[in-house]
Formats: sequence, C-alpha cells, structure tokens
Amino acid sequence: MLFNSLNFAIFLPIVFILYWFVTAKNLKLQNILLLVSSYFFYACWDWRFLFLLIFSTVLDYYTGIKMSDAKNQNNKKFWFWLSITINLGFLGVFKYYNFFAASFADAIANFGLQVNPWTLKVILPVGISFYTFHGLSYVIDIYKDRIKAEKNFIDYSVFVSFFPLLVAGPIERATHLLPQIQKKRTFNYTKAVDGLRQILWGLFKKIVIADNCAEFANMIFDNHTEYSGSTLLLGAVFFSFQIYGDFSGYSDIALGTARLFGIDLLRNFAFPYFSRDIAEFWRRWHISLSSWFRDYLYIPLGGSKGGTWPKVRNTFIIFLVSGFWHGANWTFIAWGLLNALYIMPSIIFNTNRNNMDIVARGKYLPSVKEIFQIGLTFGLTVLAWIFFRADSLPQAFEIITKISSKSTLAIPEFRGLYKALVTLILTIFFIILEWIGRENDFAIQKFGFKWKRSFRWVFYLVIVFFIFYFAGKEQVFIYFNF
Amino acid sequence: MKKFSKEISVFLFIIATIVVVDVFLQKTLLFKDENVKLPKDYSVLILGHSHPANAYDTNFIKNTINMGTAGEAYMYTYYKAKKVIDNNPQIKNIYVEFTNNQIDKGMDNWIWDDIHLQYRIKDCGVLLDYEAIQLLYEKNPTGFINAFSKSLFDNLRRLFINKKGMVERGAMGKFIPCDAVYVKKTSPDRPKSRKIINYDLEISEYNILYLQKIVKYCQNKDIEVCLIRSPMHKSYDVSYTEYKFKEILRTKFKNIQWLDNKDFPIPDKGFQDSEHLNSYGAKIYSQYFNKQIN
Repeated sequence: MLFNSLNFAIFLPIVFILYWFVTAKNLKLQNILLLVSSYFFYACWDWRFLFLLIFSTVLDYYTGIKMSDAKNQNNKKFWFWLSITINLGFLGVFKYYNFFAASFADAIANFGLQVNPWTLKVILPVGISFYTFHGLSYVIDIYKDRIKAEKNFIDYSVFVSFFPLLVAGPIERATHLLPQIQKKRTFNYTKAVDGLRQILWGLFKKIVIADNCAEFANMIFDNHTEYSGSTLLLGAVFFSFQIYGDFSGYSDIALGTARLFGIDLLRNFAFPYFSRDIAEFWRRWHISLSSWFRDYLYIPLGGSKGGTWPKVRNTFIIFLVSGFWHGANWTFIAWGLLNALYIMPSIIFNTNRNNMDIVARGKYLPSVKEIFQIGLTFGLTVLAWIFFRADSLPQAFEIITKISSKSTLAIPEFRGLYKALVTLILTIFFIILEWIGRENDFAIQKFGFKWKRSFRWVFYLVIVFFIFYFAGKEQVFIYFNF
Repeated sequence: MKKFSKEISVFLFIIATIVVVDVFLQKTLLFKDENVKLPKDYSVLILGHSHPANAYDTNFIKNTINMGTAGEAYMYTYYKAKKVIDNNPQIKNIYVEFTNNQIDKGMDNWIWDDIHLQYRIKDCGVLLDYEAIQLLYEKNPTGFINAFSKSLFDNLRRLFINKKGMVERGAMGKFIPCDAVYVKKTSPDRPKSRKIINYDLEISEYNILYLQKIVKYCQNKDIEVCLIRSPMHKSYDVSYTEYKFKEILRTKFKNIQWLDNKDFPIPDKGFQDSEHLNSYGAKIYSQYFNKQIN
C-alpha cells in the first residue's frame, strides 16, 4: 500500500477513527490495533514476507530478553551474536546474495575461468533494510546496557512494525519510540493538525515534484547516449530533486501520519539542499540513517578519537557501508566513496562542524558567500547522484564524460520541453517555499500562521489543487528498493 | 478532537463542494441539452476515430455530422453518441468506422492509459456513467483521478465560452483536413498499432463491447446503424488481422450492415499516410460516399 494511493486514503481514516474513538481508553487495545493495522499495511504489498517480518521481530524480542537475563557475559555475547548473525544473514541473502555471486563470477572470469553462479530468484522484501536496522539497534543497545529488554511483545512489535515507518523509515531507536508506545497517548489538536500539514507537504513533494522530475530523469538517464552534456546535466538535476522530493516526501508523510496517532518519529530531512558544505549536507540528509551509522558503526570503530588517520579510515568505512546499504550495486559503493572523498578535507582540517545552524537564520536571503557555498555543495551532490542513479559504473562515467565536454554549453534538447519547463517552474516554487520555511521542521509547518485562517485554508486548497492538477506519472518510492 | 473533526470535515466538504459544483456546471452548462441540439435537417452521424475524422469531408456529404475524433475508443464514442442521439430525434442513420486496428488488445490503452485519459476525460468525462467510471478507476486509478481533476480545472474556462451548437461546430469531433501527402515506401507499411499489440492477436474485449453497445443503443432508438471501413492505402497490410476482424464482424455484428470501402480507388496523392486520407482523398471519397448513402 503506497502512501500516495487511494487505498491509503481509505486505510488511514479507518485506523484513525478506530484508534481515537474505539480503543482510546485502553492502551493495550490501541497498540494491538496499531500492530494489526501495520501487518495489514505490510501484507498489502506481499503477505508472504509478513512471516519474515514477524520472524525478525520474534528473534530480536527473544534474544533481547535472553541477553537481559543472561547470567554471564559469554551467555549474553552468544545471544547477541546469534541475533546479529541471523539479522545480517537475512539481509545478506535477500539483498546481497546475487550481487556477491555475480561479482565472484566476474572476478573468477578475469582469471579465465567460467562459473555459473547460483542466483536466487527472489524479490527484495520491501523495508527489510529498515526493520532489520530497527532490530539491530535494539539488540546492540541491550548488549551495551543502554536499555532494558522489552517484555511486552505487542509493544516491541509495534516499535518494529509501526506502519508509517515500516517500509522506508525513518530508522527509529528503541530509546526514542518504545517509551512513546508504552505511554498512554491523548489526542493533541496541535500535533494532529501539524501532522496533516506535514502529510500535505509530503504528498506535494512526492506527487508534484518527485513524480514529474522522475519522468525526465528516467527519460534522460535511460537514453543517455542520445543526449548532449547539457541535457544530461539537466537530467541529473531532475534526479536530484526527484530523490529529494521522493524520499523526504515519504518521510514527511510518515512523520505526519505518526503525529496523527500522537507519536513523534525521528526527523529524517532538514533542508539538505541549503547546506553550505558536504558535512552539513550529511547532517541534513537521511538523518536517521546517518545517525544510526554514527552511533552503531563510526563510534564503535573509534569515531574521531585517536588522531586524523583513524578518523579518515572510519569515515571511509561508514560511507562505503552506507553506499552498500542502499543497494547491491557498485554504483552505490562509488556514490558512498565519492561522498567520503568530498567530506575528507573537512575531516582532515577539522572544519566539518563549521556550519551547524541553518543557513541565514532570521534573514530573508543568504550572503553571496553562502550562495556560492550552497551552489558548490549542490553541484557536488548532483555529481554524486549520477552514480546513484546510473545502472552501472560505465554508464555513470559516460554521462560524466559527456557533461565534461563542450556539449554542456549547448541548449538542452529532449522530448517534452514544455512539460519540463512547467516542472522547472514548479520546482522553483517548491524551492522558494522550502527556503521560506527552512527554520521549521518542514517547509509549510508555520506558513501563513500570521494570516487569517480563511487565507491559510486557501493556501492549503491551492496545494491540494497542485497535487491533483500537476500530478506526475505515478512512480514507486525510490527507497522501497532499499 | 471535536475541533479537529469539525475542521477536517469542513475542509473536505469545501473540496467536495468544489468538485460537485464543477461537475454540475459542466453537466448543466457545457453539455446542456440545448448545446448538443442539431438543426432539423441533420439526419446522419459519422462516428469513430482518426480515420473518419480525416476521411469524411462534410462539405460534400449532405445533412451529415462527422463526430470522428483521433484516438477515441468506442467507450467514449458511445457516451458522446448517446448524448447527441437523445437530443436529436431527427437522426436516422449512424455510420461507425470499424477498422482492423480497433479489434486489437492495444485499444485498451485508448480507453484507460494516462495520455488518452487526459484528453477523453476532458472532452466527455462528465458524460460517463457509473459503469464507465468504475472501469476506468479499476484499470488506472491514478491516471483517472489525475485526468478527472485536470478536467475540472481545464473545463472551467470552457464554461464561459458560448457552447450553443457545439456538435455542428465540431466541439465533439469533426472532419480534420490534412494536406500532407503520403510518401510510398518500398516495403509494405505496418500499422502503427503493431508496436503495442500482441502478435497472437489478443482482442480488446472492452472496445468491441462498447461498439456493440453503440449498435444496440441505435437499434433501440430505431436508428439505422452501419459499420464502415474507409479507404486505406494498398501498402497498408491488414492480412494478419483480417481473418479475426471478419470473424468478429460475422459473430458479434452479424445482422449489422457492413460497408467496406477499404479498397475504394483513391490515388496515392490522396493519402497522408497508409491509413489516413488527406484533404484531396477526403474530397474524392466524400463525394462518392455522399452518392452511396443518398
């Protein structure tokens, strides 16, 4: 079930009504409702993989309790590694097995040997990377004695499977979400209205920006040999807004939906395209994943302790792993590596925390220096997205070679220029709104708060009109593939 | 919660009201009965897709309205025709273009793919009944919702234009003159639809079903209905569909008059491509057709 489908538009009000009008007085019932709804939501995609989700939940719940009850460190270690191995094992089989098998065959072929790798004909269970990471953070936190094991199976299951975050995050932490699930929730008008606003803005990002940009990004990338450098560059820019609109739009809908149920999820995006350097970009892009890697990989590896070189090594490791997390393809690894290279100067010269606050806080416009910094950071990001979007490394290099040629000075030419122009205008409108609202959690959170309510409602109706009128051809959320 | 429920209800009510009022205005102002009335002497209707739109020059055919529209599936033709027939009891004869490509499974795309929906819903979306809406929603929900919302706004402009006599002025389909001349190729042409069809000739049940509905509706209204195939260039290869095409004619339209003008002699310079006549060809053919029916 997609967030931007009519099915979800029916599903959400039903669950909302049952949640606040039928089960509101009983927390246990409320959590059971959330769990059943979440499993139904997931089963709408493919009910067979529901068993995998339940198995993963039971595994982490059980090993969590066993770790808590362990009488000695060895016993605790056993349950910890059992959980880690099985979790990563599932991820490895479903997500990476074919990649490793094919890569192994290619490597062997370099020595003149032919092998036919046994590949699995399975589809990637949607959300496996996300719920596995939920489970991993939970068992690691128990192992490190940061939290106690959750004894209530329903509560723990809701933490893993809560439908707004189930298939594409944000990647939650037990320390943040579990206490909210265990606590009685009361309806909060401000929070619920805020949630609706965030859903509306998420739908705009996904349906108007991402889906329209996708049409051109797909056309240009899929036929890259036919286009000039300027067109390919434009295609890369379209993809940059597609992936931002798509993923941050999804996250907004997820966060807004959760707010309707009185639950706050972790923020996932904070206007990343207004970043002044790559380090800031990574503090603002897919925040829940970046912080996951920071807490569960970077810091255990030593983090920034021990001088420059361990820091450089650890940074390379988290970016490579982050790239690989996105998918079993060398293009993602190259994307991660490129971002590691981008961030390296600031790591070496200790300037990675130079831009901690949002750009031009309290001002209408950024300074010339900030405009230059934002432009440069965006340009570097666009270049990196070429690797992310390309089907293969040779394709990415072909595109970059063309973009580096004289043909980049030519006027872009492709089918559907008029629609592309409309998409660009919509994107500019979107950037302006994002700029205006950059000091909030999401762009329209406080937009028009000083206006009369009727004017504010007209603004929301205009957004609704844009969503219906300028809807692009429906595309599956990109992060469903991860 | 009370305040929240109230505000949500009001907001949704406003949206619903905008939609309902818009549809109502389209139904009552744009497609009001008076607008689709024809002068009393018009008694012949020509229906179908781009072939009739290019082939029947009504300047040479007496008392005839050409409602041919490029890319129009029979489902939309059916609802348009119903509206016009209901308001014009003087119509006695209807000619529906039936060509080989219309049996192909690919015609389903003409009913519900994104691009066709955009045009068709805008042109005649408010004429559709529940059954048609259900079909479109089932086959392409997002495409339908998107096309429907677009039509709501696009047609607002049309509401303020005088639509009286919209049928005779061609707002529901018309003769489209074309001056391009077909450059004959050495190898036989393939029909365009071949790109999207299955070679084992899967049939578009929906397209045929709605053609049957047109026929039945006309019969119920005592209108003489005739299926017709307008001229095609000799390089246009129908051989691989002809058998099935004729079988459908025999089985599903067995008592219906069939007028096959496919091989009517039109010189090469009378075609704009292998399937469609140009203005020159249309003039020759329309003069002939006029004699044929009168």
